[in-house]
Amino acid sequence: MSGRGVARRWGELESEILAALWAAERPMTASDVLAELADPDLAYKTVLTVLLRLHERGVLTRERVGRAHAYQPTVDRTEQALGTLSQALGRGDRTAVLRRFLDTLDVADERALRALLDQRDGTGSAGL
Amino acid sequence: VIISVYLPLLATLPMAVIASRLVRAAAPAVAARVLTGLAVLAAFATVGSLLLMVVGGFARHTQGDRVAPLDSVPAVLGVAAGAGLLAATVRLAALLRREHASADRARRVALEHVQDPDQELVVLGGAEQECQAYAVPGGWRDRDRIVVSAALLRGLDAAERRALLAHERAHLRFGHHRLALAAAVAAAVNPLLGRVRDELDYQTRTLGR
Repeated sequence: MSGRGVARRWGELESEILAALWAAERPMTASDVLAELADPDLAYKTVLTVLLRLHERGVLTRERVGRAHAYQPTVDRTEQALGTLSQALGRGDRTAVLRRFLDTLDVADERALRALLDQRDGTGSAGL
Repeated sequence: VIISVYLPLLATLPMAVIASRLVRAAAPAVAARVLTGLAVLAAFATVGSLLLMVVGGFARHTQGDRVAPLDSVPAVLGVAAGAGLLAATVRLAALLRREHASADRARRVALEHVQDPDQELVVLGGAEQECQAYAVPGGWRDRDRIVVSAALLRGLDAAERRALLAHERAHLRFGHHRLALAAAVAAAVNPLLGRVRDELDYQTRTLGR
C-alpha cells in the first residue's frame, strides 16, 4: 500500500475506535475495544497503538484498571457541565427550572447571560 | 432567426426530461456528474438566452439595423427577460449567502468540539441529544471532518458505525458538496432546474458515490 493509503487507514481506524468509545459510555481497555469492533483483521497491538496515540494527542483520557489502561473520550469541563445542566432541565418543567436557576445567579452572571442573549439575537438573523 | 434567441432556453426543457430518464439507467456516480454538468450548461444557456432577449428587446430602438437578427424580439419580452435576470441574480445572491453561513457554522461547530487538529471524527457529546451526522469539507484551510452526535453513536453497533463513517467519507471523497453547490446555483438561476437538483440530492445521498 502507498504511504498515503496507510495514513488514511490509520486515520479511519482512529475514527472507528473513537466512535466505539463514545458509543460505549464507559472506559474501555484495548481488549474491550478489540472485542467491540469484532474485526478479524484487527490486531490487539494495533488497537493499543491507536489508543496510545489518541491519548498522547489529548483526544482520550485514561485510568489504570489492574494491569491495563481503560480509555474514554476527553470531554472538557464546559461540555460536561452543559450535559449535566441539560439533563437537569429535561427532568422538570423547563421554564420553572430556568426561573429558579435565574434566582441563583449573581449580578455578574446575570450581566453575562444578558450579553450572550443580546449577542445571539444580533447574529441570529444574519447567521440564518 | 427568431429561433436562435429562444433556442438556448427551449433546449433546457427536453434536456431536463431526457436527463432524468438517462440517469436512472446509469451508475449513480456517473449520473450525478452528468446531471450536474447538464444543469450548469442549462443555467448558462438560460443566462445567455435572457441576455440576448434583453439586448434584442431594447436594441431595436437604440441601435436599429446593427443588431438586425435580434430585431424580432418584442420590447415586452426584453423587459420580462430583464426582470428574469434580476430575479435570478437575487436568488443566486441569497443562495450563496445562505450556503456560506451554513458552511461557516458547520466548520465552527466542528472546531469547537475538536481536541486535536488532526482528528477526522468530531463527536458532539454532552448536551447534544439529537441524532445527527454530517460531513464537513475542510476546503483549503482545514482537513475534512465528520461530525456525529454521541446520541447517534450510542444507538449503533460496530458494523453500523463503520457504515456511517464510510458513508460520510464517501460524500467527502467524491466531492458531493461541490456537485450540490453547482446544482443549487443552476437551480437558483433557472428554477426549472430544481428537479435536477433534487434528483442529484437523491443520487448522492441514497445511492452513495
